[in-house]
This record gives sequence, C-alpha cells and structure tokens, in this order.
Amino acid sequence: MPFVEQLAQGFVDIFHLSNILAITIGVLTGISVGALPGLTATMAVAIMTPITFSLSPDIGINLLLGVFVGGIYGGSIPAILLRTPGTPSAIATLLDGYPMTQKGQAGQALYMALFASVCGGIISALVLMTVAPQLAKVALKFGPAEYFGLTIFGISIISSVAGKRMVKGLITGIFGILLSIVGMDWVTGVPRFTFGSTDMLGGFSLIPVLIGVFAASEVFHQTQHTIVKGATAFRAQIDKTYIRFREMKQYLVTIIRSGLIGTFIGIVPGTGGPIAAFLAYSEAKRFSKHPEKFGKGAPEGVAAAESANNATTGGTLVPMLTLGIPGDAVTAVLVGAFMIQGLQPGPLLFVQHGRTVFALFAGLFVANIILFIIGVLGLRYFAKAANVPSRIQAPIILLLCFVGSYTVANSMVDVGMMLAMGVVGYFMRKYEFPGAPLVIGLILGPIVEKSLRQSLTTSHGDWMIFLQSPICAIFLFLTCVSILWPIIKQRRERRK
Amino acid sequence: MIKKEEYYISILLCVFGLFVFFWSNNIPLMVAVEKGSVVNARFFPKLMGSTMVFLSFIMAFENFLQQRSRVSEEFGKDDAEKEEGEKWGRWAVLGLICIIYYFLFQPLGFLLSSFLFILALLIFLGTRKWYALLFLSALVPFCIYILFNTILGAYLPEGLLYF
Repeated sequence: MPFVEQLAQGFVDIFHLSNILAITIGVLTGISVGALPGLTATMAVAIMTPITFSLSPDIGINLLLGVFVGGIYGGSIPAILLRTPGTPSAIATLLDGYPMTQKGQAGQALYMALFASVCGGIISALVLMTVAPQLAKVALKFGPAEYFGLTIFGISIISSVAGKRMVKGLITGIFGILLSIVGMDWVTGVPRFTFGSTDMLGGFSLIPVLIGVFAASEVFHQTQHTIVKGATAFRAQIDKTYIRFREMKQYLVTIIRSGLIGTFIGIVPGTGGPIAAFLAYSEAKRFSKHPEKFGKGAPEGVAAAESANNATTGGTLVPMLTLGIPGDAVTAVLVGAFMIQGLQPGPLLFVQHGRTVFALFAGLFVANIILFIIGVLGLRYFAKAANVPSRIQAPIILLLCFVGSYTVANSMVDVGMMLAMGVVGYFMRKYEFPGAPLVIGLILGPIVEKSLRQSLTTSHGDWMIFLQSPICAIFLFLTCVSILWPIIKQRRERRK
Repeated sequence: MIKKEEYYISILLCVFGLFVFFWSNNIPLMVAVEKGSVVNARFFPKLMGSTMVFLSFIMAFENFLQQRSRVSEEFGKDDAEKEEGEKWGRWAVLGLICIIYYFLFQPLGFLLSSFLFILALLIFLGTRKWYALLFLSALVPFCIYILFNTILGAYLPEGLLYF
C-alpha cells in the first residue's frame, strides 16, 4: 500500500471514540504527573503501562503516547510557577519562565509554553511520519552482524552520555545486559543464574524492573528526604490573559527552528529532552534581536525550550520504531509496553503491524492537538497539581507500583522484583549511576547475545565477520567514537 | 564528589563480575545442540562478567586520578561534607511496611491490605489529620480497584472481601 494511503488509514483508525478517549486520558494523566515536581514523564509512562495490558495495541499504545506528550509538557508548569522543573526536560524552560512569573506574566508564560510544545510536537510527528518508514526499509536488510553492531552502538552511546561519568553509564548498561541473561538460554533452553528457582526461569520481567527503577526508587528517595510541607507552593492566581496570536506569530520562526533541533536531537540515541531544550535555547538566543532579554523573562526563551523538548517525543520514536533501539528512558519503557502487546519494535514492525504503526503516527499528531485543547481549557487547574505535597503522592505512587507489577502475571514474584529493583534504583541514583542504560541493556541484551552468537556460529568463531560487513564496521567505529570522544573532550577541557 | 564509597562500589562490582565469570562454568552444556557452535551458553555471561571486572577497574582508576588531582585536605573535606547519611531508621520502617503489605496482599485481599498500607504510609510520612487519613486510605485503593478490576478486567486479589 502506498505511503499516503497507509497514513490516511492511520488517521481513519485513530478517529474512533475509544482511541480519542484513550489519548485524552493519557494527555490528562501525563500533564498531571509531569506537573508534580520530581515525577518524570518516564515515571508517568511506567506507571500507566500496566493499565494498557488489557487494551488493544492501538488504544494502549496511543494512551501511552498521550502520557508521553502530556508528561513532557506538564514538566514546564512547575518550572514556570515554582522554579522547580517537573521533568529534567523543563530545566531550560525555567530560565525565562520563572522570571516571567516574577513579572506577573505566569499566564502568558504557560500559554506560550503550551503553544510552543504543541508546535514542536506536531513538527516531530511530521518528521517521524516521513523519516521512519524509509529508515525501516534500510534496516530490513540488516543481518545478525549488522544487528550486533547496531545494538552495541545503541547501548554504548546511551551509556556514555547518560549520567555524569561515562564509566558509570557503561557499568549500568552491562548490569542491565547481565540481568537479561538470567533465565533460560534461548538456544539450548538450559537455565542460567536461576539458582534452582523455577520462578526465575522466565528471567527478569521488563515491566517490574522498569517500575522499580523509574517509579519505586523515586518514592524511596522522597521518603528518605525531608518532606517540606508546601514550602514552595504557588499561591498567586494565574492571570487570565491568553497569549495573543500576534505574539505567537512573532515567535513562530524560533518555534519551528527549535522544533526541528529537538526532533533531530531526539533521533540520536542517548540525547533526549534536556540537551535539545538547552541547544534550542542557546540557538534562539544567538539568533534573537534581543539576546540581552534572555534569562530575564523573554517569552522567546520559553518558546525555544518548550518547542524543542516536546519535539523530542517524535524524534526518539524514530530509532525505537525502525531499529528497535530505545533512544532514552521513556522510549525504553515504551518498548516494554510494545512487547507486552506482542509488538517487537524494529523494521519488521512496519511489515507485520504496518497499520498499527501508522495509527501510532496519527496518534502522536492527534495527541498534540488534544494537548492544546486540554491545555487551554484546564491550565489553571493543572497548575494546582504542582502543589500536591509529596507525602500524599508517595503512598499513591507506591501502591500503583505494587498493582502494576502484580497485574503483569498476577504473581508476587514480580512485585518482589519491583521492590528489589526499586532499592537498586535508589542506590544507583544516590551514587550517580544513570537508570536508562540499565533498562536499555535489559531490553537489548538478548538481541546483542543472539546476534553475536549467530554471527560467530556462521563464521566458525572468526571475529572478523564484524569487520567484513561495512554497516557493522561503521557501527563498531561509531561505538568506539562514542566511548572515546567524551574522554578526549574531557582531556582537552582540562588542558585549557 | 569523590567518596570512599566509590572505592567500595568498584570492589563490589569487581567481585560481582568475577562471580558471574566463574559461576558461568556451572551452566550446563547441551553437547547435541552446541556441537557445531563455537559459542555456547556460557560464552556471553563470561564475556559480560569480564567486561564488568574491566569497567570496575576503570572506575577505581578514575577515582584514584580524581583524588590525586585534588589537594589532599580537600579530599578529606569532601568526605566530611558528604551529604546527609542514610536514614536507616526510615528505611527500616518503610521496608517493614512494604514487607507486611507484600505478605498480606493476597490473603487479606487488595482492598483491605491496601487500605492499611496507605494508612501506614501516610502516617509514616507525616499526615496527622484523621479525616484525611481515612478518606485517602479508603478512596485511593477503591478507585484503583474499580479501574483495574471493573474497567480493565485485570484481576486483583479479593481476599477476605468477596464482591
């Protein structure tokens, strides 16, 4: 079926009441969770994933896309009102958002953030629709050696850029791969590291690990640190001034440029919202006629940061859908949700479940439109969500963690796994080990092992097979670059 | 910030990597299947175990370099200024609440056990108003139960309350 017809079919599929309702619920939940300081979009998607188990793939995945889009936007609300970013992606937003609030322009800042987020999201959805199917066609030609190179590159780049120290990211990535080894060997069926337990034959379930690392660990962190009772609560009334169309038009070029930056940054695995937002912000400042106003409450700064961070939503979906490589923590969680629905992200997804993929493209587009409508109608109420104290949030989230892990297989083993990974996640966070490489290692570990063993079996143990394939050799070269570049850069900076 | 704990973590990771490497020898080999294959079920765990050992050395070496590049008194100050220590008392209470909930989840059922769980956590985290405690402890599990059991058709244990 030609591309345009497939896309049209995707939009026809998405305009069902159930899909629209699912996206709306997703966006509402995403904004609410994102607006709570400290709770990330990743956590929102992780908590909502178990809810999608009993839904059809179209509805379930679109609900999570709504959460993703809403969650990234929601982070800007406390950044603007309280100077506390709801999600890491919103750190750049507070640079100008909070000064606008101090000047009594909180409403304008919030509406500018909303408009820019929606534009950024739509730009990224359009890029996703056009780039992803073409990339999937190329990826279809990959053999085991190419897949080995690709997955190794995916893990290494995410591990090397996540966190403050590269070695810690790499250790976490290897730890994730080691977790993926537990259970039955996929070739011979022999148990590995199960220590005689039949419960562990299936290995570590992805969803309890995700919930443990990204949600339970956050609750443990909140309970271990002094909970301030509403000290930063936003008490002022948000003014009713909607941002005028003229003002929106004035910043349209900035928004489009930032949207494109965000989308392409999002496509590169291991980057994500915070990097995109800061890059777009500095570019907006460079191109601005009034760069001196940046940092003092310039709406343009808010527009650039928000357009870029929401544009990463579509960007990060490109490598995830086409290559099966999750580019960041949120897409790693989404991979888990896909797998629960029986969908394996990668080029074959376009062949086997093409209709679902195009419905998903349309879903991302529609999610941004719904975000705009919900944002305009309910912005003042979402702002109140930022005031919910963490002593109330924490028990509710922990209860959802228990329920979410239990409903994967109605098994208490999964709940135990979630709690254990929550404790591991807490200490990882304390000692600055990033969480995303662990999950990505767990997801990609089986693919790395499978492709490595297949390739070496074909070549009778000759490792040169990986250099004989040009694509694999390029990926391995990029892997070396991704590991060595931060070291070289650090040395150069030290010398300076 | 360089902490002494960083060295202990490197040692722990090294021991973990060595454990994976040597324990891999206990993985049974299926000669019939793996006869023609160069790489068997032990190969990948050994490779990853040794990579972990290598990375733990790198981490320890990096710590050493960072330590050396600083003035020795500054290093001491870092240790003294380290962030507030682990609140083991809070961990113990939280752990106890989670473990009790874990074991009561199925026998008591979701609604009853979750009511007690939320109540205990709210009190632990500082909520003192009795009406807020009762309202939240009853409402939150009830809403989640309706969402999962009734709307989504997922099973949550009924335990003592059959309906």
